[in-house]
Amino acid sequence: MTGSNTKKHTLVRLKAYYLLCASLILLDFLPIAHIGPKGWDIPWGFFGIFGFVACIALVIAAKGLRKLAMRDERFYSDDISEDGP
Amino acid sequence: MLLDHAPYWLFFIAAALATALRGKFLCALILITPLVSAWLMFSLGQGDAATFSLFGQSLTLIRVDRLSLLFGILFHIAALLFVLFSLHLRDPLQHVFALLHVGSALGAVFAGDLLTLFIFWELVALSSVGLIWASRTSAALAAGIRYLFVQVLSGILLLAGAILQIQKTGSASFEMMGLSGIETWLIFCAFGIKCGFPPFHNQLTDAYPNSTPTGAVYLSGFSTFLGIYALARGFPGTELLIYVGALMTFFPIFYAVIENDLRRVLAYSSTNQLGFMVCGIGIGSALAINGAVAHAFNNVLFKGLLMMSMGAVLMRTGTAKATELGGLYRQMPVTTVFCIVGAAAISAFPLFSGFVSKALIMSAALAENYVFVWIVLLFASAGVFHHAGIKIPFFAFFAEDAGIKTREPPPNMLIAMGLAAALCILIGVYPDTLYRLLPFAVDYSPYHWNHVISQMQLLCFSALAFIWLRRQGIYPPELRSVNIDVEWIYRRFMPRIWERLIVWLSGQWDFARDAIVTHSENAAKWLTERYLPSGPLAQTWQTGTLVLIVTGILGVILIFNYIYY
Repeated sequence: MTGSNTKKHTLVRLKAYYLLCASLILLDFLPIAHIGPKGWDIPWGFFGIFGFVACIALVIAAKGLRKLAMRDERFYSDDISEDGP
Repeated sequence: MLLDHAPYWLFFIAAALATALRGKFLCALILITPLVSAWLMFSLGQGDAATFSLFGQSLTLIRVDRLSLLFGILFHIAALLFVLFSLHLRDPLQHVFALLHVGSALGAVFAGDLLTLFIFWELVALSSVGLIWASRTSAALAAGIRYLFVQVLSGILLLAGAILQIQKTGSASFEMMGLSGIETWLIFCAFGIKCGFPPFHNQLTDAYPNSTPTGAVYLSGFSTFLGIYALARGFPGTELLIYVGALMTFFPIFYAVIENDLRRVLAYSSTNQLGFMVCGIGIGSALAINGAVAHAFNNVLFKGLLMMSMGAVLMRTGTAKATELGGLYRQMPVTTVFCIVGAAAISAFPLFSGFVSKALIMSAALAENYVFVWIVLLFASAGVFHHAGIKIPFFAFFAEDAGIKTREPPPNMLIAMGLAAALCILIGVYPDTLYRLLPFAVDYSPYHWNHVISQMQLLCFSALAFIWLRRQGIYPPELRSVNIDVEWIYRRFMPRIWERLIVWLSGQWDFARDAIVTHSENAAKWLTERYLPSGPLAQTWQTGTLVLIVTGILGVILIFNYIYY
C-alpha cells in the first residue's frame, strides 16, 4: 500500500469516528434522562464534553508533571534498563 | 474432616512436589492443582468453619461465606489462567513460588481469625518476593528487597493490631471492626499498605516492571486483591476510605500518561482501579460493597489479561518500553486483539466486564450523594481509558513501526489470554453470572440506555481528545526516562542522607582517632622523659624534700576540712 493510500484510509477512518462522536452527542436530543446527582439537570452533551475536556486537562497537567518529575533513565543506579528474561 | 477440604493445602503440597518434578510431570501437576483445589472448595458449604484451639485462642482455619467464596472462586480462576500462561516455563523455581503465592492468598481469604490471617499474609509477601527475584537481575534483587520491606511492615502492623485486639476483646476473630481504637488503626494501615494506599503505591510500580513476564501476572492478581478482601471484611463503610480511594483513582493517571515502561503504566493503572474498589468499600452500602468486590473480580481478569499481553510482548521482543515498541500488530495479531479486549474491559466499555462492575460503584456514590467523589471517579474513568485503554495497545501494537521482527507467543500463552478475554466479554454481556456470586442480592441492571449512552459519550470523546492532541502535536512523546515519585524518598533521598551521615561520622572518627593518637604520643613522651634515668622522677629525692611535699598535702587537707566541716 502506498503512503498516499494509507493517509487516505486514515482520513476516512477519522471521519467515520467523528461521525460516531457526533451521533452520540445528537442522541442527547432524545428524551433520555442521563444518570447524574440527585437534583442535577444534566446539561446537553455533558458526558462527551466532560470526557474531552478532562483528557485534555489530564495531558496538559501530565506534561507539567513531566517537567517536575522526569529524570534520566539511569537516575536510580540500580534501575538499569533490565527487563528480565 | 473439614480441614482436609481446605483448598490451599494442595497448593503447598504441589509447591513441594514441584521442586522435584520436571518436564511434562511438572506441567501436569501445576495444571491439575487449581482444578482439584477448586473441586475441594466447592465441596465446602457456606457457613462451614474449621476451628481449633491454640494457647487458649480459638483459631478458624477455614471460614466459608459468600465473600470468602467469591474471592476463592476468583483466585482459582486466576490461578488456572496464570498457570496456563506460564506453562512453557522451564524454571521450576517460578512455578514453586507461584504455587506458594496462590496457596497463601487462598489461605488468607479463608482465614477466620487474625492470627491465621497474619501467617498467610506474610507467606503471600515472601512468595511475591520470590516471583520478583526470579528475574535474577540486580534491579530485581533491589526491587524485591524494597517490596519485602513494605510487605513485612504491613505484616508487623497486622500482628501488633491483632495482639492488641485480642487483649481488648479476648477474641482473635476476623470480623467487621471499623476504626475504634489503636488496634483497629494498626490493622487498617496493614490492609491499606497491602492495597497500595499512597504513599505505599510505589511498591507496585517498582515490583511489576522488575518481575519476570509471568511473575508480574501473578503479582498483579493476588496480593493487592487480598488487601481489598480484607478491607471489605473488616472496614466496610469507613468514610476515610472514600477519600483515600478517590485519591488513588486520581493521581496515578497523570504518572501513567508520561510513563514509558508499559508494565509500570499498568502498575499505576492498578492503583487507579484499586481506588475505585477502596471507594466502594468506604461508601459501604450493599450496592457499593457489591460493586467493590465485583470490580475486584473483573480487575483480576482484565488486568491479568493486559499484564499477560505485555508479558507476551516482553518475552518476544525483550522490552516493554513504549519508546522501543510499535507496529507489532502485524507480527502478533492475536495478542493485539486480546490486549484490545483487556483495554476495552478496563475502560468499562459496554459489553465488557469493567462496565458492569464500575457502574455499581458509580451508582452507589450517586445514591449516597457523594457528588464530588462521583466527579473524581468520572474524571478517573476518562483517564483510565486514556492511559490503559488507548496508550497500552496503541504504543505497543500500533503507533510508529519499530521494525521489530517477532512472532506470536507460545500457544499456552494465547490460550490463557483467550480464556481471560472470553471471561471479560462473558461477564460484560451476562453480568448476572457475576452478580449471582456477590455478597448481597443485586437489584441492578447496568444496561439502561441512559447509562450506556453516557458511558459511550465519555469514552468516545476521551479518545477524540487523544486523537486531537496527537494531531496537534500536544500529546507528550514517549521518552526514555524515569519519573520520580514518593519512592524517591527511600531510593534516593534517604540513601543520600545516609551516605552523608556515614561520611560525617567517618570524618569525626578520623578526627577523634588523630586526637587520641597525638595525645597518647605526647603523654608517652612526657612520661618517658620523666622516667628516663636522667628524668626527674628517676632521680633520688632528699628526705627533706619529701617531708616538705607531705606537709604541704596535709596542710591543704586541713584547710579543706576547716572550710567544709
